Amino acid sequence: MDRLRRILIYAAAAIFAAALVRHFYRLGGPYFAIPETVQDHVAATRYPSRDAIVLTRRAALLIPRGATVTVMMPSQAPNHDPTLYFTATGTMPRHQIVAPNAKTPAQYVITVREPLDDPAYSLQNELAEGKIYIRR
Amino acid sequence: MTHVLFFAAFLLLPLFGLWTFPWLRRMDLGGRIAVAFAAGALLVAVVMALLSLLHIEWSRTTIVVWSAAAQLPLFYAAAKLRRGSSAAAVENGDWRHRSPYVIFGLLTCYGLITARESAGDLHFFWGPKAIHFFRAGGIDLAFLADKVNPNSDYPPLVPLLYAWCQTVAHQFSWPAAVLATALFLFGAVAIFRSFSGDNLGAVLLAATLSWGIAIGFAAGAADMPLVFFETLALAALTFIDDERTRDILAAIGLAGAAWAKIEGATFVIAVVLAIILVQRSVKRAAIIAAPAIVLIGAWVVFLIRNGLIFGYGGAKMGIHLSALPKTLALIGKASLYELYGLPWLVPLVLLFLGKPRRALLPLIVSVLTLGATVFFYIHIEDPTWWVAASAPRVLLTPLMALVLAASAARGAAGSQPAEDRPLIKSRAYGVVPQREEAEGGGREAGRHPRGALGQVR
Repeated sequence: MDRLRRILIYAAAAIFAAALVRHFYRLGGPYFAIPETVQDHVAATRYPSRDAIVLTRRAALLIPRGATVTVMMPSQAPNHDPTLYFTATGTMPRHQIVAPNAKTPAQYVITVREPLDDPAYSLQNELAEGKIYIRR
Repeated sequence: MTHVLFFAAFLLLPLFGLWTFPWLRRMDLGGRIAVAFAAGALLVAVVMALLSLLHIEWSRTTIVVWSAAAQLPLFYAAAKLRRGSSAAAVENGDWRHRSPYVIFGLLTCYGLITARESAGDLHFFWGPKAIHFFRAGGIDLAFLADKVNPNSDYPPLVPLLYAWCQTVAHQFSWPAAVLATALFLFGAVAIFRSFSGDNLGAVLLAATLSWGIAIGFAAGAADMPLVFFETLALAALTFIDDERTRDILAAIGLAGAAWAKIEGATFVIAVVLAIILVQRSVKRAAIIAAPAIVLIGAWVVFLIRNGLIFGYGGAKMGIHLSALPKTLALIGKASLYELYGLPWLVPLVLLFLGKPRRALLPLIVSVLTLGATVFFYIHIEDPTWWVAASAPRVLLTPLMALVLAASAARGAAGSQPAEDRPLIKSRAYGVVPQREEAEGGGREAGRHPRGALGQVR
């Protein structure tokens, strides 16, 4: 009985270990580099929220403190992904984060990956992961 | 440097749980540190919440001094109570089979450091909450009330712990918050191994949780702190013979679980029901659950007074029975853990190879928490996205309970009914036979019909 138990557990542990290696491999490289964000390798294809982290970190230095800011992918309107501006509440704590469809439009709009086609806003900064717009 | 300091703040937490040491003299060092980590984390979180209520702004000094001061009466109580409970009948396993722990430890740390296991919830709300708490020097009501903060009423333990680390480091470290998941994993395994003396079972728990965290992308969220506290509670109730030690450790575990996630409250209910069903003791169940009930009650009162009820208010939501078949199918698929259900199959086989009757308590908890998971999900009409996003993490609780049940069902000493055991192994005092003085009690064990062990139960 003890022997059977030992065999079962060690066999299962070996499978789990092999499966973990395979799982990590499938999430893509680079495999031995410190990632830029904690979301870099949670999927083989990068999530927009990963780019939102990078963008909002940089935007925190470019946008005046206390300004109202929102983060979005314009193509998702009107059903915006809330996780993008949720992310900004942590990376831009000195700014006032609002939802894209807030009653009072945000002073700054950070768009992930896509341009914003809205005449009320003009482009302020262009970064690799997206753009920062300021209300005219 | 921020990352190192932030992580080091987690490593300081056992210092605030040293008051548990008098109960743990027979346990190996890993188990002692893990229990002290749990007790310290809970103590620091409660102290921070109380300081916030008293409008005393957080700083390194205030938190350390108040937490250290809060330990003193607990030390006194622990030392006094210990004299009445002479032995925690915890058997120590050996460390002959260390390599599996090392392998899963390294694999998990690799996954955490290279950002392959991170939870989105960390940067959606657990992290932001902690950051705003730190900036406010206390629980930030304005931020909790802000609509851009989801799940504002989730229990406060994890944001408070992150805020503690940020207070030490002066900045939030996202990688260190993710890496801290490893501490909760190691802690859960160390506690289980120490309480049960079951090295093989601990290997299975380490492997299962490592895989579950990776597949569920649970790192940095509250899921592993929850499982850690749940493991403490359930392992204490399942494997520790000394009644007083068992009840106190279980109470700490339940209190921590209740303050870690909303699911912790359902875990407390499941444990209470299991104790009532298996041990037929409503009074004991109530005593063990009392600290958890007080903490949840205090948090809910705080939420109600400030108009912040959201998740707990979900209990009023309607149930969609029509969603049950689809929910069951979705949960069934998620529970396969992309490995043909292996995480469940192995403990189930081990359970039925052993004596399931011995494992009733963790088994009932596993079934009840599994049922509670289904119950939660049928509160919305189409839970497809919700199940996909959370089921592998939420199912870690019944999975952990099942692994504990499989260990309890084995024929080894750790789970053996105490009446069958004539001896207590003691590292400090050797073997205490029947009819000789039990260590610390100062009473003659021979007068007790069940010998030394019966005397200390």
